[in-house]
Amino acid sequence: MLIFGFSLPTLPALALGDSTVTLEDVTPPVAPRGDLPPSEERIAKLFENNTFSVVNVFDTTLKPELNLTGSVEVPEGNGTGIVWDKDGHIVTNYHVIGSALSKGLGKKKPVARVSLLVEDGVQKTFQATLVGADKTKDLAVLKIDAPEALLHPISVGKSSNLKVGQRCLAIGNPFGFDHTLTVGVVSGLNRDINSQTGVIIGGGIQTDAAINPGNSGGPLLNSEGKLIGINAAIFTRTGTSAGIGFAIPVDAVSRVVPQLIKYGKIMHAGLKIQVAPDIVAKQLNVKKGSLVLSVLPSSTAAKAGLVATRRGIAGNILLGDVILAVDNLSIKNPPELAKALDDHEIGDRVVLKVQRDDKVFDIHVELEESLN
Amino acid sequence: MGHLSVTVLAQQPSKVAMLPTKSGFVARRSLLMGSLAMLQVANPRRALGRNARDNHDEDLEFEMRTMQLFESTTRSVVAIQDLDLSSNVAAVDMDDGEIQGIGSGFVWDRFGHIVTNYHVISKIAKDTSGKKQIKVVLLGLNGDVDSYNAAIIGLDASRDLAVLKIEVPESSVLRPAVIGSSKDLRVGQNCYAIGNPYGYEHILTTGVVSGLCRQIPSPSGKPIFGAIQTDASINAGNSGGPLLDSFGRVIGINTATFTRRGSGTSSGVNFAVAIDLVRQVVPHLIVEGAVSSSRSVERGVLGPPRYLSLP
Repeated sequence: MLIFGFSLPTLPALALGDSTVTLEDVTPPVAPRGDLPPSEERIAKLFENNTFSVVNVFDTTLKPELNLTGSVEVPEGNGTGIVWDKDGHIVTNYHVIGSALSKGLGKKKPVARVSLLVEDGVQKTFQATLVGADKTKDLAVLKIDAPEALLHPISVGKSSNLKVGQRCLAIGNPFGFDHTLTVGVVSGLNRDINSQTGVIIGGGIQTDAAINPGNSGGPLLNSEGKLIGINAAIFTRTGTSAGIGFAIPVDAVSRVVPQLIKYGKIMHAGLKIQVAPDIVAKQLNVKKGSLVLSVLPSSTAAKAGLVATRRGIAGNILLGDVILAVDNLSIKNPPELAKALDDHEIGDRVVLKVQRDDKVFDIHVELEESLN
Repeated sequence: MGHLSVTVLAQQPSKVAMLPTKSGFVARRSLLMGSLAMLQVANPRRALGRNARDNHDEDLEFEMRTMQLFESTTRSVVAIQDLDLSSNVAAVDMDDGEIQGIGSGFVWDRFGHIVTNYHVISKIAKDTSGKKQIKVVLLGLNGDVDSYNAAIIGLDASRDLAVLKIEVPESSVLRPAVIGSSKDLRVGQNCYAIGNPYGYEHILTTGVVSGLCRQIPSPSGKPIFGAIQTDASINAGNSGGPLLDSFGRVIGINTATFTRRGSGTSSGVNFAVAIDLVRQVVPHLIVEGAVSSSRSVERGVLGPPRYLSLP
């Protein structure tokens, strides 16, 4: 089995050829073919029409490494991006440019190189600056200064009506092989994606189209060529595709990207409170729900009467409110609370089911920008 | 290159004989060994209407076509085996050695030439003990499985190609593969990788053409140009075997899979040497045993990567 990066020494020739035949004898004719069957033609056309919206994203703070045998090891910072609009905005994953972001490169600084596909297979490379990024959704928006004629924005679809079993196509740059097409189906919906940024992203689309390192940030398309997700993660024991890939649903992307373009960040809906992490909650004997540790004085949570944990006169700890549910959705732990609130918009009014001492009752509160 | 515990069509069950459709999966696990009720498939309808019946017929057609393609090519795909006599010191009879499947190949012509990858037989080719023999196993007429001694005729490490020759009692035993062309391939069209790791059990994996004109390393260290990238699984079992299009024509030779060092497992990024290159090189390998080192073969045959003009 040939494995990349491994080379054998050349062999002294010991094959002598077959003198009983002529070149003509052993050159077979090429059999002609008809038109491709309609289903194959559709996929081929889908790829051809959409491949120009897919770009190569290379984090400029990473350097390629060469291993001993001389073949190039492709670093993780090589990923895929999607042309979002004619202004040159490129959408990709946060973790694709994670190295540049972790170095604290500010907005409007060059963070990556983006290669656009031009006719005839030529790629044109542009410096990309950071417009905005959000770790919790593993998304980032870059901007390149490219002529409009070269920009082909992707056609955005919907993810709310996806069905398991429908065909999907992924275009990306796995291992540096640019504009690779892989095909599969929607294998599952509403999956929790363990993103490389360390956050859980809900509502993920699972697919068996082969997704590998390098595909991150690239599009998942439906059979009409519309964007239904952005490929972000894979479940694997080997580091390569095992047929379980995950994409961030396009409905989430459509909410996040305009905010990143306009404000450079996302405002997450939530409460200006701090809740106890699991370890602390256990020590304080709070087994279910989210224990409120502190409430910002001017916040909507304070106005609604949410009570924080405090010390009593004797120095003992008086537990604050424990949030058990948001709008009847029960909350088991802090990440679930954050996610439940984040699913709303800033300004929404929600009903918190709260436990205070022995009493369980409702608190109505208006959501504002969350603390972190 | 050990034994694979692989059964017919089971290499990647989700990719075989199943077509994802808007209405859900049509799952048919049919055994393709032995006699199959062969349904005559009419010319593929240019189904433009998108009602459920058209979709269903199209799925049925796809399945039938896949099964038919598989059936019609099984006689052209051979198993390549390594017979090791060194384990038996007093071996006189050729059958007293240890047989190990090492890969696949396919029948090139009626003269008994078999094409495979160089890396499939490179170990034997370098063996100087004289105690190793390459065996080629193929399905003859009447479903018989026959094993033949093979001689190495030509080798090209830089393009990972090798040609063997077997002597058969009569040429009707051989079913040369139908050769296609790789220059009009399109990303997105279906392709089928067939192997025959044991000689009597063909394996099929399917996928699409993922990319064209790729560069992959060869056993000599020099790059192979114009390789076809596919997400059809390519592994030790079908290495050296043909990659076919929907018309049953050979469009490439299954050669490599991209794998993280140490893992040995496929990643959905697989490669085949393009048939246009094979067709230029193999006749020379047969007649002369090797190819001159000039690269003019590739330039004339493979050309630059092509993309269609923008819509």
